[in-house]
Amino acid sequence: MDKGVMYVAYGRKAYNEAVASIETLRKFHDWPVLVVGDKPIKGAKHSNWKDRGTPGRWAKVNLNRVTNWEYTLFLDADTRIHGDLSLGFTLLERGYDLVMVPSRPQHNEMLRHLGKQERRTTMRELPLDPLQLNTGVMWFGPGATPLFELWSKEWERWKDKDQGAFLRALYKHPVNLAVLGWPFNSQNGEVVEHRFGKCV
Amino acid sequence: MGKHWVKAIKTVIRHDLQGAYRTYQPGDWFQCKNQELLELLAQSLVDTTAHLIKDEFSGKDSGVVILSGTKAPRALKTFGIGLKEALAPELPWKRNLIMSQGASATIETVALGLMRIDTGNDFPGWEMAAMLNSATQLARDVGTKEDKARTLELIGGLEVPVYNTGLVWLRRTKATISVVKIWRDELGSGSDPQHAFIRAVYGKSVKLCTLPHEWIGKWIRA
Repeated sequence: MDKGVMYVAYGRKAYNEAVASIETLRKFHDWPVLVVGDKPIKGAKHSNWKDRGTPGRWAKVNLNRVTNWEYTLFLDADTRIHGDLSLGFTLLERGYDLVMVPSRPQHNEMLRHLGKQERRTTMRELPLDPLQLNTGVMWFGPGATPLFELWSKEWERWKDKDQGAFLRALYKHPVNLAVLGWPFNSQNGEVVEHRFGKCV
Repeated sequence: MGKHWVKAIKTVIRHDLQGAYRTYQPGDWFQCKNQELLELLAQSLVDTTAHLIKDEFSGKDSGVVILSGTKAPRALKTFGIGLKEALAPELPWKRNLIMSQGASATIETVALGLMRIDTGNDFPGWEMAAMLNSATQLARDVGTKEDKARTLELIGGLEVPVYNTGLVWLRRTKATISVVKIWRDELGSGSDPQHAFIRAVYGKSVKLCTLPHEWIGKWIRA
């Protein structure tokens, strides 16, 4: 399987977080790593993609174009790996296009981090009470390409946060999405610990 | 009378009897009683799903499959939705709701779920929809030791969420026919219902629209 791990790390804090995350990843997997950012990280391939607006977010909503592999695991820089991440790739091999974990805030608490106008529009465009998904840990394969193309277009509408744009895109073009449990992406994640906000 | 779920379309500030207040932004959902509902509708501050269902829902080639011990929702005929009792999951219609394990649903819940698995001209659509059983429950938390071992062997991990298998909406497609076959076989061999569903869904790949735990659509009534 042609696979690897991607990070987006622009700025000093994100760089330091990515260095720490890769160190923990290496305890479990020797998969190749690509870091999109302004500074290379030892042992990882490096790419400094177009600098448009907030470059970190632009790269994140264009992961499918930036990746070096057919199957990719994207990890936010502020993650720490504490276990085996193979299950996501196994599900991609089985035919899933995308593997993600739900966010903790749901229902009325969802997407509170968006700007007022974007949230208002997003909530109007989405169907009744969708599941909010966290974009900080994602396994994706070639089948997710149409969704990523739409994600990028949706993000261009406000050029701000990425999760609202992701949900708008997902509900316009559903893909085979497998959902994993909290151990793979949460503050107390047993497999992926997500230190939310440490890059800001 | 009961309460109604409504969606704020403008900012709504609500006060309780102690004087505390809460602000609801457009897109937020909340429950209110009849009198407040009438006031909010008169001020065009909220919307209900009644319009949405009335304007957009058609029950054509759709139905509810009731498995043993489950009560059928009322007023299915009014919406042109069929009803069938069965011993195991099956897909007699293009769009189906399979109800089991004593689950209950209003006609609005049935319709909202069926709308979620619709397709459109440029819209490929979801093939299935099901709610999470809880925000945190995992396959490792339910079932027998044997069930967990078999799921681990087939799926590759037990850190997958548990679904509420009492209400499962399915559009009849090649993928869902395959999912239902595995689901039936697993149930037939005496597997725990939640592990049976997990093995069916994660053992193949399907466009499953995962709905949040306590999906608001479950509680909607006109």
